[in-house]
This record gives sequence, C-alpha cells and structure tokens, in this order.
Amino acid sequence: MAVRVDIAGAALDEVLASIVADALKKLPIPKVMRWGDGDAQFVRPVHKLVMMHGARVVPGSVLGLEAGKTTLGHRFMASGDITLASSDEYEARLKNDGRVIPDFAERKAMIDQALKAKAAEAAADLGEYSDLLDEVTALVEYPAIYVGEFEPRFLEVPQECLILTMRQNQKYFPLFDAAGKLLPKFLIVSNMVVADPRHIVGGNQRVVRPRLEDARFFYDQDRKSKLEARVPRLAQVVYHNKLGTQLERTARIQLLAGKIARKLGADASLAERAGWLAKADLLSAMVGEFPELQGTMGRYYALHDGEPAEVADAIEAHYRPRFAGDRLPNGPIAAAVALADKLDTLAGLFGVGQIPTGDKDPFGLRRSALGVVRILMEQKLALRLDELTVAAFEGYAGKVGEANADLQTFMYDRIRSYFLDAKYSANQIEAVLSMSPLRVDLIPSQLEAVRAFASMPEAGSLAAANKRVVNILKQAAAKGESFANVAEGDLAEPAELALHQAIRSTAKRANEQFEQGDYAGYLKSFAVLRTPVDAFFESVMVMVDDEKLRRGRLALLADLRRAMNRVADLSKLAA
Amino acid sequence: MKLLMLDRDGVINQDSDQYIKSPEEWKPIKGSIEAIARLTQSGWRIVVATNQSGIARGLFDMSMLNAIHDAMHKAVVQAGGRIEAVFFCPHTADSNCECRKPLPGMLQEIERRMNLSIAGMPFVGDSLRDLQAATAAGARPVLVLTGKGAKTREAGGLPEGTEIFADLAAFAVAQLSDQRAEHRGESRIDTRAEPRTA
Repeated sequence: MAVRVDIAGAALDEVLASIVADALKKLPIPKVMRWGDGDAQFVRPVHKLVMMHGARVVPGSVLGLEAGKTTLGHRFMASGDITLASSDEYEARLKNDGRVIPDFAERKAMIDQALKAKAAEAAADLGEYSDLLDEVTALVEYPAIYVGEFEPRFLEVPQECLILTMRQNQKYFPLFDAAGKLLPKFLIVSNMVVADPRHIVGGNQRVVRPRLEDARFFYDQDRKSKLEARVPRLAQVVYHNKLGTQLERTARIQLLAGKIARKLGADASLAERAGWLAKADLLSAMVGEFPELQGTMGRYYALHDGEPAEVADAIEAHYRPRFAGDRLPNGPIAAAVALADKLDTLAGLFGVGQIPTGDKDPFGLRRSALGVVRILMEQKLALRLDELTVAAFEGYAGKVGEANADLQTFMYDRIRSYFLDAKYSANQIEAVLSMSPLRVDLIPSQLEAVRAFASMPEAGSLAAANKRVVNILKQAAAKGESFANVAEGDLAEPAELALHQAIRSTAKRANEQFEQGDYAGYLKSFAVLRTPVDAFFESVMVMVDDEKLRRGRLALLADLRRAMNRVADLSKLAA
Repeated sequence: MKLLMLDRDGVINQDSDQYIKSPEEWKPIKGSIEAIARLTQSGWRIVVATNQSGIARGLFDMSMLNAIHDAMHKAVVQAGGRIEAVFFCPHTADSNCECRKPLPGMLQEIERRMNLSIAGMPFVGDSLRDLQAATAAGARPVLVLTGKGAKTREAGGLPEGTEIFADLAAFAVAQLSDQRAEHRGESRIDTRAEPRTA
C-alpha cells in the first residue's frame, strides 16, 4: 500500500505519516487483525509502506512499518518485489510488474469490457449486473474472466433462484439468451490469469453445483405443500410487536384489497384471494434462504397450486414498486393488493407513532407512500386518497391510534417530491397541492394544465390578481365582512359590471371543460379575463364605505376566485 | 460472524509420516478445497492452525513452508475460497513452547490476532491433540476421519462433545444446512416482509 500526497515544503516529512495513519483509521473496517511481531492492526496484514515524494522516500512509520520505496504485487502473478525509482512509477509498475491494477475505475472498466467480450463470444446477455460489478471489482487485483457451465437440468428451477444464488453467493455473472432466459452458463471473475483455466473453472463449477442442488431441493420441497396450507402458520410470525402477527396482517390486507378492487370495478374475490396468499411464501424454504425472492416464489407456487393467473401475478406484484423506477403492479387485482399492502403498513405504523423523521425510516414508509402515489397516478386509478387511508385505518379496528391527517400530509409530501423530481416548479406543485386534491390520479393532468397556463402571456397578471384577491378577501374576512353571491344590482361601475359579465360567460364553458377533465382548456379559458380584471383593479376601489357596494365587490372577487381556482390555487403562481 | 479453524495435514491435505516438505508433496484431500470455498462464500472466515515441527527438525525452512502454503492458497483461491491466515508452531514437542497443540496457545493467538473470541467456534482436526487444544481454548472440537482421524477415533478418549465427520466436505455440508435451519428457526421480525432498502 502506498499513498502519494502533495503538501508543500519541509512540513511533509513531519506530517505525512500521521496523515496516512489518520486516513487509515477513518476507514470503516468492521474487524481488525494483528500480524507479525508488532501490535499494528488493520483489516489484513500490511507488509510494506511506500511513502515517496518524487524520487525521495518520505521518512515515517505507519502501522509499525518504516516507509520505503519497495512494495509487493499480486501474490501469485507478480514478478517479485517492486522497487520504485519515483512515485510517478507507482501505478504503472504496480500494474506491469505487480499485476495489480491500483485504480478502481480502471479495474472496473477492464472487468466490464472483458465480461462483455466473453458474453458476446457466447452470444449471450449479461442482464443487469452493475451492483455485482462494483462488488467484484473490490475483490480482485488483476481480473481474468472465465466461462463456467452448470448442468441444464437445473434450469427446471425458477431462474430467479439460480440467478440469485450465482450472483449473491458465488459472485458469478449469469448469462442469458436474447429473450432474457437463463443459460446454463456463467462468467467467473478470477484474480488469476492462467494459461490453462481448467482448474479454476472446474473448481468453481464444483462449488456452484451444491448451491444449485440446494435451490432445486427447496423448490421441490416447497411445492409439496400448498400456499394456502401455509397461511395459518403466519400466526406464529410476528410482524411488528404492536401490530400483531403476519396472519392478522394478511387478514387486513385481504379485506382492504377486496374493498379497493370493488371500487375499481374488478373481481374482489380474486383480490381477496391474492391478499390471503400474499405472505404465505415467507414460510417457504426458498424464501427462508433467499428473502429477496419473496413474492417471486409466491407466484410460482400459486401457479403450481392451480390458483388463477391474476392471483399469482398479484402475489408477486404486491411488493412493487420495490425501488425507484421499479415496475408497477399490472392490472386492477395486482394494484389493489399492492395498495392494500402499503396502506396497511402505513396506517399501522403511523397509528403506533412510527412516523419517519429525518433520515430515520426503518420501515421504508417513504417508499411505501411513494409506491401508493405512483400506482394511483401512473395506473390512473380513480380512487380517493382519503377513502383509501380511512379504510386502511379501519382495518385496525381501533387497535392503533388515529393518524389519518398525519398520513395524508405525509402522502402529499411524497407527491410533492415526486413532481419536484419530474422538474415541475415548486410554485406549480404548490398551486395544485394546496387544493388537497383527493384524486391523486388526476394530479398529473392538473399540474400539466397549470404548467401550460403558466406559460401563457396572461398568466402573470392573472396570478398576481389572484394573489391580490386572496389578500383582500382575507383582510375583509378578518374584519368580519360577509359576502355572499354577487347580485348584479349590487354593482355600479362599468368595470365591475364588465368583469361580472366576463366571469359569468367564461365560467359556464370553463366548468364544462373542468367536468370533462380538460384542465388545460379550463385554465386557458380564463385568459380572456385578464383585461377585465386589470381594468377592475385600475378603476374600482373595493373597500369603499358604502356597505352595499363593498359587499358586492367582495362577492364579485370571491366569485372570480371560485371560478378560476377549481384546478389549482393560481395565487401560488404569483412571484 | 463465524470463524473456522482448521488443522492442515490430514484435514486439508493428505498427511505423510515423512512430513510435507515441498509444494509437490502437498496434495489436497478430495473435496476439501471446495469445502473451504463454499464456507468462505457463506460468510465464514477461515484460518489454519498447524504444528510444523519439520522446521525445528531442519527438514524444511521457512521459505519452503511459505511455498507450500502458497500452493495451498492458490488451490483455495482457484476454487473461489480464501484462507485468511495460517498459524503454525515450528517447535518440537520437547521445546516447551506454548503454541504446540495440544496446548491452546496457537488458538489463543488466533483470538488475539483476529481480535475476536473463538468460544464455540469449530476447530477441525484429525488428531487427539487438535481436539484437546480446541477444548482447552473453549472452541468446538471437531474430528474428521481423514488423515489420522480414523485411528484417532479408534483410540478413543476423545474430549466430551467432540463432533465427528467423514471429512471436511461433510463438515461443510452440515454447517451450511445447520445455518439454513437456524435461519428458518428465527422468528421473522417486523421488517422481514418489507421490501429491503436498496
């Protein structure tokens, strides 16, 4: 190990060793060890210390070693000790003589390139492998890629199981055909370049075989009992100490999924069946071994049990979306179960006060809430958010506290960040969300309409007028003014009569557009109000002494706001 | 974290009354290298603790011992495994050292060096003195029947609680299936059913 640091002047010799020692101390090492005769501690034995400034050794001692200019390379492939003439040589000598690529990015690129080349040779695809690539890059010094094979009979096991055991346990890169189907082949990233890789390939093939046998064994064992037979045993699995067992949770999800499916006009009995079986695979041997396969195995086992395809699909999909950008559950049955699962989690944990704060979100509630939002919005489900959360709390039948308002706020926060990520302006988002829209599925088109409105030349002036109206009405209300619907007889000035007329004629058409869901058309239709609104504020004084006039004008402004702000609070757009 | 301590001769490689004096004489026992690879990949840390009095006897020197161990490391690495450290006692029985098995010195040294407790961790050997060292150090004595193992069993007088396996491969299979059973036996906690955080 060597470190190059450029610090000017004579101070270098005095401080370098302590800087290096401090840097090493800050590494997050779970367990250190001791070696040799000294008492130095590090994650692995440290054999050499190189500290050089140009051609000069910077004297000092770190981890019990005196600085020098000699280092070691790869245990088996280096061509002997490496004595550096200058620090500039470090990278190249380590690479050429030491057979160690010191630069992580270079090593990673080298592995990536070699993986792709080997995969291409085998006319195969690597699938998604970026996480594994990072991990493997950290494990090797001078990578070499070899192709291993396993017996095709293992392909009878669901490929997710084989992929997981290869990637996770063996750090192998499984290969796929063009259709994404697993091939009985994998790539091994070895730390050894050898002329004849038979040993390496053979050794690795012998090690992976028992793994695949295990997967096959679990799969065969699991299929001997039906999912529905496992459900009662969920009573022995604690979900959360305040929220009962997985069986209780299953019953709640079943009920809620049925309710949601009914609202969607889908077959509630299918959703209830899927909800009932959704967690049963947690008790299977395969999921016991590979928790990541929850849902995936449920689907396979449900199909094996002869459950309807929608039920099997919903069992798998109810965990979706599991991460940002993950696929959503497809179809109303799967969406109903996925929503029920997440809403039950949210209601339960909010109900016992486990509300995420700051970085702390141990139950992944932000992800669950964002999942609900994405499903409602991207699947365009005509469901009301308040009805969903209330129904979720009802599932607990008073066993948890009432936290519906907190949960709603939390959901709107997720919606806000969702659209900030989608590059809507904070003002536009606020304009829509300040209306507390209950139909989450409509928010995208409302926001789109607001964005279109904001880009119109009339928008600035109308938004400013809206803000002015809000302030006037607020002040008036504070003074105890009352203003009901405007009557034409209450108005006198031409400008206010003109505005009244304009609102009446515009609002009729606009309301039709609103009812049809044409939010952009609705908002745009108010562009014609710009002139009468501006004229009103130029020539009419609202807070006059004449009570009848004053009330008439306040009522006119309240009408204007009511008419224009059905989609969004346009005053929020004002700069 | 699980630590596995292994005797070398008769456990990993075939033993010889004439000592293993060169890399060429170091021949792995069938299945032992793969067993080490499987255990490594299941999260075990693996070290070797071996008596090598051949050094004191002048049968081979340190650089030869290093060459032999290089051969062992290489074989293990090729199968996808890893031996983290090799502890050895170079002394003869009459030198009164503290590291030579059956004394627990070498195993205690593992604790000190690796900065962990070996209490209840398995030490796999083929001779009585391995088992005695394990017991004295509070580790789990495990006998394999390879090397001198069959004779050791026949001679009797094994420490209480000694577990016996045909070879290192059989030991590995048992550990891995125990691990799985343990896994399943645990009561599933709250977050279990939740998608894991990335």
